[in-house]
Amino acid sequence: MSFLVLKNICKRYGPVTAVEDFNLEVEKGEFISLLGPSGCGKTTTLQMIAGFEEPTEGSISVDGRDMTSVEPNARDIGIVFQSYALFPHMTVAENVGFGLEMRNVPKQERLQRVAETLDLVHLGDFVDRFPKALSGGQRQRVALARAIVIKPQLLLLDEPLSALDAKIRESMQIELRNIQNTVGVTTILVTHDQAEAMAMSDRIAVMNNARLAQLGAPFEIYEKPGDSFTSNFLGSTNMFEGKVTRVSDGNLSISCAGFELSISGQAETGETVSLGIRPEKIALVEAGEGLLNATVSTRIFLGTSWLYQIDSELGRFSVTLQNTGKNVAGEGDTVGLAWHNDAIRMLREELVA
Amino acid sequence: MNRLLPPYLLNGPALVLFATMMAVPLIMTFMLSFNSFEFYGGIKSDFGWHNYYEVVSDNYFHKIFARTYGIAIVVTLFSAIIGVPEAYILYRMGSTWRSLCLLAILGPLLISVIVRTLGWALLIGSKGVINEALIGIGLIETPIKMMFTTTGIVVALVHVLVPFMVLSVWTTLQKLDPLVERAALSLGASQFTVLRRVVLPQVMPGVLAGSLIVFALTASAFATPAILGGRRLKVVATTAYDEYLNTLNWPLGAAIAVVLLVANVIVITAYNRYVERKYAAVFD
Repeated sequence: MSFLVLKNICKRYGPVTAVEDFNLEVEKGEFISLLGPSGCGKTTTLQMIAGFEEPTEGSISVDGRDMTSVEPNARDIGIVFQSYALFPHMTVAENVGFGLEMRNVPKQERLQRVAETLDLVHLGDFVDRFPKALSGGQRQRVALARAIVIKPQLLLLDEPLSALDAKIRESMQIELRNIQNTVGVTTILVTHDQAEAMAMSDRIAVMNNARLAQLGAPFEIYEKPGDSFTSNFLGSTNMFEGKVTRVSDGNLSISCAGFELSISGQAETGETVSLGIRPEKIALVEAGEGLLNATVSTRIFLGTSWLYQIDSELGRFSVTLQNTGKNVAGEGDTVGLAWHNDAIRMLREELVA
Repeated sequence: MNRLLPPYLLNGPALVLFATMMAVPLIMTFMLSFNSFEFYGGIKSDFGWHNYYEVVSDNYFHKIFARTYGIAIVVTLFSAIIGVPEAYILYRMGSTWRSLCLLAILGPLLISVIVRTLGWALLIGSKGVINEALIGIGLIETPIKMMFTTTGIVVALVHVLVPFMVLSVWTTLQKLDPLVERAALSLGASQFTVLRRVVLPQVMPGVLAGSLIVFALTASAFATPAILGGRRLKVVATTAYDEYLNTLNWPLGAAIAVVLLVANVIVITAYNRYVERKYAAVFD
């Protein structure tokens, strides 16, 4: 049995359903992200794991013990909140030591563990400061130290990095992941930032409209999104339609405006299907040499890459090209679009609850 | 035109008003307190410290000052003991109930102090509602003396002043991050520990500010002690009043008033200093 098991979790507030039939099994030591847009139910799910909300239906168990109705202060869970929620009237050391004090850890051991944990988050020199005198990133570290010093069964991170600016956020992602590896605590991260989820997690649970849309390793979800929602939420996707002309042995021949493609998948002959391709998987070639011709409408330089908006018969395509230092097509140029058929994904329409 | 002139002109009316309504009476009271008084000769406009000497040396005044500040401290303590939980309950309420309860708490402030105090007199008098009821159900035989006691004054003043404490604490509570309580819970603290170790320390600035308001208003309270304390159980404000209007010794009354003012200012600024210094490192 898995370490953390969420079974058929539902949460309703009157007529509003916040979480619907949510199932998740997390292994010990795993780092899982709940990823989704605001209002998708990810924070509610986290609060049910923490014990601040009780599920309307379903059960939560940790290490085989049923936790569904256990009070939050008896769950042995460390939480890092978006606002950090530090105790403003306590020093850094007092903040971090609070959980140990609640567990009646003797003073000597307490001080030692506080010092060790603060070293782990590189705040050894700040023990006597008040939160007010710390920067956002430092407060973040104190909040993390406070949550992990108690050696909790579970570490819950509620959008912990969203209040930081971009540069610090990136370095904190790496650091947070390293600390989690060192401590080995089972971790659930709630975030709306797909880059953050992909950078940090072992597996990602994509949520949409109160339901679990897809669960899997970051690479797997990115490469094989189940529906158009996941595909667009993780990275961006160019969507277009095609008509199935022939079905044989799990292979489909699909006719799009002016060209044919063949991919593997399940569909009926004559059916119209939605297809998606990632911007980085399209190559620009000389006009006439690709699958279809198109006109560059805008071109933006992003440093590591170029971002194109290209108009074709199938609609507007976004294309990203690595910046290799060579000359590239400019605005107004006619180009050909080419790709491997392996890069095409057939996407179900987004599930609507 | 001088760049500084318009601000002064704009402030002018308010300054004139302030000067005539506040500064002039204060200065005149201050000057009056140095004059002397004779029972048959009235007020003489001479100069001397004798009124202050009398206030400072006479045991009669010592008792009155001690009683005034004793009442002020007790009223402040009780206002905090009642007002802080009241404010916290208010803070945790749903919005509909909160509006109703806020109205109930602030309601007394809409009624004149005199009317409210006379209401208390009806309630606690020896022929008042409480005594009549207790005698009626046979719990006591002779009425309990509550009118003209310090207890009566304290009870009525707490009732009058608790809203100030509630408002002050409530304002501070509004600034709390509710997630901080959850953080403490998740770290294993009980609800009570959360209140004692996390909520209360954070609202202390509000409690201290509220205490300051309640203390200052009690120390200079007149109507409630005058009605419930009667002519014999005096506080500083009623003593000054009696010197002015009964004995007609205006200079002595003025001296008492000045001593009260100075003592209050010293207590309040010292206290404020202490609070600000204590919390400068912690709160914005």
